[in-house]
Amino acid sequence: MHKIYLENFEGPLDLLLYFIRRDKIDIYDIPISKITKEYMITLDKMKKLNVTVAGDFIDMAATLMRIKAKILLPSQRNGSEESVEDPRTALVQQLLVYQQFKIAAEQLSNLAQQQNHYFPRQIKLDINGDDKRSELQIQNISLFDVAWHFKTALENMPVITQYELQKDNINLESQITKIMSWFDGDGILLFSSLMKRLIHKVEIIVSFLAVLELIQQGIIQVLQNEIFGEIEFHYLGNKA
Amino acid sequence: MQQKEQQLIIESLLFSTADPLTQKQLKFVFNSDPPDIQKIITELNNKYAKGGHSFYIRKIAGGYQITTKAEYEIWIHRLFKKNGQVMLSRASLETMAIVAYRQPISRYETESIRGVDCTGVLKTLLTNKLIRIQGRDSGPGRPLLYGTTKKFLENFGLNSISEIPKLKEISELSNSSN
Repeated sequence: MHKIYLENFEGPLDLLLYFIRRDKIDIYDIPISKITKEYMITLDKMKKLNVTVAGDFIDMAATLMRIKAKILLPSQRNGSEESVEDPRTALVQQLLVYQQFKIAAEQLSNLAQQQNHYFPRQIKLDINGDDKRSELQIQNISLFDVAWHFKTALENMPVITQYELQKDNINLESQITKIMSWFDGDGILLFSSLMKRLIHKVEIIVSFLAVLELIQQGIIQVLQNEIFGEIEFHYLGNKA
Repeated sequence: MQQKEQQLIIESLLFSTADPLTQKQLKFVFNSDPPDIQKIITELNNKYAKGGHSFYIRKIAGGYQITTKAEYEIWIHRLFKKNGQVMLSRASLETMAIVAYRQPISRYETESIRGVDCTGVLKTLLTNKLIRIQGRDSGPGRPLLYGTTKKFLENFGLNSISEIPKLKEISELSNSSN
């Protein structure tokens, strides 16, 4: 029985490559049924160990199932045409490319190990107010570097915990009185001229409530003569 | 200026900085007619070899850097743990390799090769200045494209990006996996 240490896998492709290596499977002829089973058992183990199974692993499970289903389904082979694509091809290609970079990563790691034998000087230069030097320093900075630092600066900005609020002296009663005073001699107030007098968001909201209140009390009536036309408020006369 | 003096000036520049010294930088030091750096480095290295020293000058990241010889590593390690190199996790190394060979490359392409989310790893590499944003793809969503930096070359002991080991051919891989 092989013990699998899940944290050693970099992802679903890595896990599949592990099965392939361990069981000496021909990468071009993967027994999908067997490997899917193995894969699902491993996912179950992960769940039992309370490891949150990453979406990537579940995504691969779905891919494996899909391939398995395609293989099981009778292919629609008309005549003797052999050009039906193997449903495993895309996965095999992905595994090969991933393995290629896994090896490349090892090679890079070796290079880093070799470089680790050498100790360069540790002095980091300060710019001495020397223009030529500072020119040198700035040369390697791209627009993206600037954008990156700007973003970091924004992220590091102190969180504002205190706000200064302006007290709005707006209430429904006074807004009703105000609106009433804006009606012209004919007892008409245009919606557009009402909006022009309102500045703050709160004022607009309260005015809306005030208009509703006036309509409900039967003091005003709302009219619109045509679709998308101007809305008019008509004064109906004082309530009793 | 005497050749001997030029040699000593370049030696002092190498001594005073951690960053690799380039031919281009010499024009800021020598007002007119900067000397050929490669020639002077060879002379200096010959001098060090004759004199018997623990250090020499190495070509790295397109420039020259004074470093200790590899055989003194064990002694230096008794004093220092690190040499300023960034040590990478396997996930970071894989991502680093993909960016190095396929640059400029988007996060999406990197993820489709590795089969896992790469947001965090790319951010680590960016923070460590081993990769940088090279621009944006012209394709849908205009994703950011990543490429390697000078620090990447320094960290992996390369003189230029063309020195990275060749990717193994896919046919070789299938044999090795059997």
